[in-house]
Amino acid sequence: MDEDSTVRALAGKQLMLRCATALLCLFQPVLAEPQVVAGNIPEKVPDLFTSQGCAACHHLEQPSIGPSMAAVGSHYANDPKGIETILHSLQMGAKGKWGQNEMPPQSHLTKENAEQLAEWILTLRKKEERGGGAKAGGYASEPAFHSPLIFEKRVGTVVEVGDAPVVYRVYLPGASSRVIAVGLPQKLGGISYAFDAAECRLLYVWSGGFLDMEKAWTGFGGWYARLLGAKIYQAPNQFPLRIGKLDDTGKKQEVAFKGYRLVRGQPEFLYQVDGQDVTHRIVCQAKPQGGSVSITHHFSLPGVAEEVSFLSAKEHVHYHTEDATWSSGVLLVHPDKRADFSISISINLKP
Amino acid sequence: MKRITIHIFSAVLFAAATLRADEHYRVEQVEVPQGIVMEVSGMDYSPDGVLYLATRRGDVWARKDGAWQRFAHGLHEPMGLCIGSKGEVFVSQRPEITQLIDENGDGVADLHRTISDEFSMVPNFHQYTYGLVQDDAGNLWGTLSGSGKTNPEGRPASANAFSSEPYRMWSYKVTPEGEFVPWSSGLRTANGIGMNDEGDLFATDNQGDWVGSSMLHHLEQGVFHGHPDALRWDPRFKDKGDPTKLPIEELDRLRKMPAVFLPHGELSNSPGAPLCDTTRGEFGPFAGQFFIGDVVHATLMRVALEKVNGQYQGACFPFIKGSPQKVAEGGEIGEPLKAGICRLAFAPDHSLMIGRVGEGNWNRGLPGTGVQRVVYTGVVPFEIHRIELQQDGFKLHFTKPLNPADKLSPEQFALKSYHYAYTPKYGSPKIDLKDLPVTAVEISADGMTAALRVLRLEKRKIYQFSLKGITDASGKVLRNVRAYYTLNELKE
Repeated sequence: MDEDSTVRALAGKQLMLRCATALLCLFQPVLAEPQVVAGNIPEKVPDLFTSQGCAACHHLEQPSIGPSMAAVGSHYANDPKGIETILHSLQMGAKGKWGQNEMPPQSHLTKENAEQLAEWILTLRKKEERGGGAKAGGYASEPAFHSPLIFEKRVGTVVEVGDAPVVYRVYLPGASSRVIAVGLPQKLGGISYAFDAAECRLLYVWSGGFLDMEKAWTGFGGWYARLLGAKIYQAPNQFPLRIGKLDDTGKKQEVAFKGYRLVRGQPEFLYQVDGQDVTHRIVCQAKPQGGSVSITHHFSLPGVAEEVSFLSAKEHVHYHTEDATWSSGVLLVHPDKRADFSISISINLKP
Repeated sequence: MKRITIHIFSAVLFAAATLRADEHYRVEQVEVPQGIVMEVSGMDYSPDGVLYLATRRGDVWARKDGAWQRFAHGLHEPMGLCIGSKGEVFVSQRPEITQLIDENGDGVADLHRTISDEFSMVPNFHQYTYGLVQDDAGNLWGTLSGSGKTNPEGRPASANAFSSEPYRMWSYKVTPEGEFVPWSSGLRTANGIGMNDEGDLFATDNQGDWVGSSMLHHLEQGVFHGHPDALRWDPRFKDKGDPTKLPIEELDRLRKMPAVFLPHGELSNSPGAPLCDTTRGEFGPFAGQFFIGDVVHATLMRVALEKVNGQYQGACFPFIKGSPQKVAEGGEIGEPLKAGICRLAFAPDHSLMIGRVGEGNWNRGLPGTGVQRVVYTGVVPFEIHRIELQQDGFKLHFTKPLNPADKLSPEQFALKSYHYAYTPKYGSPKIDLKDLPVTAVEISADGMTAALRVLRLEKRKIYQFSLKGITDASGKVLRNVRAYYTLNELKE
C-alpha cells in the first residue's frame, strides 16, 4: 500500500480533517518534522474561542490585549478555585490581574459556553511548562513549502530567496516607514538591499538570508521585519543625486516616489527630483574571486539639461565609473552621459 | 514519510467541498492554492470575470476559471483592493495607494505605480490603510486606521486608538490625479468601505474606545464620526487643545450618528467591508441592501437603509451565522460559514465570494482556508426585507406574504429599545434597555407588511425586534426573527 492510499484508508473523513488540523498546528514554523509533544497543547482551538469573540483580545501563546490563554491556564493550574475565578472574570469582566487592559463582561456567553471555555483554558500550559516545545496554533505559519506559483520560499515566517528576485515592502530597521526590501538570488549577487521609497535612495545592503516576517505577519503584525544577515554596506545619509549646479548642493531637492517596474524580476525605481523623471536600477554582481560584490547604480534622466552629479565624498568604498569624474569631492557626470549613466561601488561581503 | 503525509492531508483539506446546505443559501469552500496562508484583505472582480484578491501577507492573487496565479507580491500589508472602471487593479497598502499594471500581458504585474502616498504612517500594528472603492469620477476611497499603543516589541499594549499622525482615523479620497483629500474624521478603525447603488459611501467601524458597538457610517465630507482624537487634524479644532479633553456632551453634539449600529456580541465584534447587493435579485430579494461579514464572528449581516429627513438610517439583520447559535426561536439559520470575514465581492455568476482574513481575528489564517462563497438557490427566503420608520411606529416589509390564516397579535412583535454609551471606555453594554409595548399590528391587504404601532419613539435609540410565530402562506416560519433598527431621525 503506498502512502497515499494508506491515508485514504483512514476511517472517516471527519477523523482525517481533525488529524490534519492537529498536525498542521503542531508544526514548528521552521521545522518540517512534527515534534513529540508532552500533553497540554491546544491542538485544536474550540469553535467557541473564535465564535464568541475571545480571539479578538487573546492569543494562545502570546500576550495580546489580554493575557495568553496558556498563561491563564498555567496560572490557575493548581488553584482549586481556578475555574470559579475564570468563570467570574468571563461573566463579570476583569481588570488588573494581567496588566492594565480591562476585559468587559462577556455577557453574550451562555453559562454553558463560559464553563466550556473555562475548562478548556485550564487544560492549557505555558510552553516552558509542557516540554516538547512544539508550537501551538496561536497564529498560523505556512508549513515549509515551495509552490510553483510563488518563487520565494516561505518557511514559517522566514522568507528565503529562490531563483528569482524578491521585492517585499515591509518596515525595516533603520529606514523610513516607506521602504522596499529586495532579495537577490545567487546568480544576481545573492545579497539583499533596502531602498527607501520616501527618500528615494539605497539605504543599506546585507548578506546572508533575506527576512523574517514574524512581527509583520503574526500577532497583529504591523512591525519590523528582521534582517537575516549582516549589513555589509550603509549608504551615506543623504540623497546622492544632484541636478543643477554644484553650488546648489546645499539646496533641498524635492523627491517624489512614483513606484517601481519589475524587469526580469528586478525593480527599477521610478521617482522625480524637482520634477525631473529618474529611473534608478541597482544591479549587483559577485566578484569572480569572491569576497566582495559590486553594486552598480544605473540612472536614466530622460531629457535632463542641467548638470548632474553624484555625492559620494564621505564613503569609504571604492567607486568605479566611466561616466563621471571626480570634481570637488563629488562625481560630476559627463555632459553627454547625463541622461544615462552608471556608478559602481565595490563592497566586501564580510561586515 | 511524515512530510508527504502532511501534503496529502493538506490536499484533502483544501479540496472544494460543498458544505451543509440551506434551502435558500448554500455556503461552499473555494479551493485556494495549496499551502499558502491566504488572509484575504481585498477582493474584487475585473470586468472580464477575473477575481483579484489581496492578502495581508502582501500577495495579490488572480483567479480565472478556477485557476490561480500570483499577480503581485511584496505589498506592505494591503488592506484593500478594487478594480477600476477600465479594469485597473488598485490596492491600498500601508504606505501608499498603488496601481498594479501588467505591461507585458504575462498575467503578472510589472509596474507598481504609486498613485498617492500623501499621508503619514509609522510602524504600528493598528495603522492599517483600508480601502478601496472607486466612484464614477474615478476617485478612490478608503480609511486610515488609528494607532494602538505597543510594547517595545511592537506587540499591542492597548487597543484604544489614537491619531498619532495626519490623517489617521480619517476617511480619504484620492483623485485620479493622485491628490490625497482627507474626507471625514473620527473613525477608530474602519475596516472596510463600500458604496451603495446611489454612489453614497459607507464604512464600518470596529467597537472600541468611543465606539460603543460596531457601526456602519455614511461618509460625508467634513463630518465627524465620533472618535475625537482624529479632530487634531481638523483645522476647525486647531486651537482647541487636546480634542479628547473636550466635554463629551460637546463631542456628542458634533458627531454624526452611524447609519446603523451592528450590535456587539449578537451580530458583530469586528465588521468587514460592506458590499451593496448589485445583483438585481440574482442573489435573492435584497437588491440594493448591504451585506457585511464579521472578522470575529462567523456571521454575515444584512443592512437595509432608508432615508429619514435626508439622513441614512435603518435596520440590520443576521443573514447567515456559521456557528451553531440559535437565532431566537427561529431556530438555527447557521451553516458552517467561517469567521474572519473581511471582504466580500459578487462573482459574475452572482454568488457572494467571501474573503477571510483569519480564523476569528487578524493573522490567524490557516493554509488553504481563506475563501468561501455563498450561492443563492433561487428559493426565496421568508425574511423581514426592510423596516420603514413611521410617525407612530415601524412598518415591517416581508419578502413573502404573511400567512392569512394567522391572527397576529402585538405580543408576537417583542420590541426593546436601548442605546450605547459614548465614552472613552472600550465598548459599551446596552444602556437603558427596556421593553416597549407594541400597541397594535396592522397587516396590509397583500400581506407583505406589518405596521406596528409604538407609543413613543425616541431619537438616538436602537430598536430591537424579536418576532414570534410569524409564518408565510405555506406555514413556514420566518428564517430570521431578529432585527435592530437604528433610529437617529424621527419621521416628521
